Amino acid sequence: MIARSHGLKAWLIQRLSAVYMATYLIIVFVWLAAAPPQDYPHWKDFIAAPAMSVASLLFFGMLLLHAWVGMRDIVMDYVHPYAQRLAILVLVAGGLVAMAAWALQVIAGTW
Amino acid sequence: MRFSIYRYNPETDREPRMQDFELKNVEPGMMLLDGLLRLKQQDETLSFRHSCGEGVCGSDGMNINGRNGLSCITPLNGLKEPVEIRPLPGMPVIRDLVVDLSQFYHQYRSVKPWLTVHEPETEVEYRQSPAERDKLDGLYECILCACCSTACPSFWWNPDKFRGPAALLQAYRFLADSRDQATAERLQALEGPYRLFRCHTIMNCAEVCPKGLNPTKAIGHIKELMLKHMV
Repeated sequence: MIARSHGLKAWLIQRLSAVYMATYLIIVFVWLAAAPPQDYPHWKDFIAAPAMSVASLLFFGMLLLHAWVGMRDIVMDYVHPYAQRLAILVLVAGGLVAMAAWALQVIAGTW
Repeated sequence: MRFSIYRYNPETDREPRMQDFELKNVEPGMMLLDGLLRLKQQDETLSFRHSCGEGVCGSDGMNINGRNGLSCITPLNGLKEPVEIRPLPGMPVIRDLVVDLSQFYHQYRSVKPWLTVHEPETEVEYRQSPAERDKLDGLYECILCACCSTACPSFWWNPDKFRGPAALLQAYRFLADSRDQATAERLQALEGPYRLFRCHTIMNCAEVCPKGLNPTKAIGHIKELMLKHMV
């Protein structure tokens, strides 16, 4: 995971994902403030709309990538013993993949 | 004026201690270095580096009331008492305020801080326009006092892998030089998760630099250059 070529890429992923997440959140908040869904079926329709589903899936993908780069940075800074570092990175990666699957399940459940 | 100064001789002391000093007759305009030199008359075993006394040589970097700085250009008045003086953080102590900067110099050497030219050398001097020369302002003035790198948490955690703000400022000083022809090699040498990208824009470096330089900004420029070279 911590290969030589992963300096610039990780940095770029962190920045691009931040830009996407900020844009998504602003648009969604404005949207919700303008026309707040009144009940559960409306919420479901709001998320199930194709554009919103894709944008939201992308949002969670970006969030998890962003979190991965950040967590990896913390581990690289503070955890130096190889075995501990590997164990923590595997745990973090596993947790993030599980969260990705969960987000997919929730959003796909509205279709 | 009261002082509390870090004392440690690794050859004889089991652990470091803080020693109290009292300085009488503080004159207006006195710098910390002047005070330390007077304190050394009280206890001549007190060790610290100093040379030019004008903030040019960079020998007397130390931690003054929790902030890195040069003792020769730090006025005594305005310092909170007792003035707590410690060596530059994170570096091995040789004695008292004298630290071993080998790691720091190693990182500096690693960025090849000299001009590299691939073309055959010309018979005339390398010319540079005033605009090209201006790009080096804010970069070449570094005096290698190590105040920035030893204030950088990323350098504390990975001093063997992260180049540190001082070395990266110099890396950019040569990347920005119109006469240098090794841009690609220099950028390639800084790639990877550690050498450049351990910088998390904490900005302690810019905050403490006695010459008012901004290594964080230079690091940002290096990242931009890398991006341009990638796409």
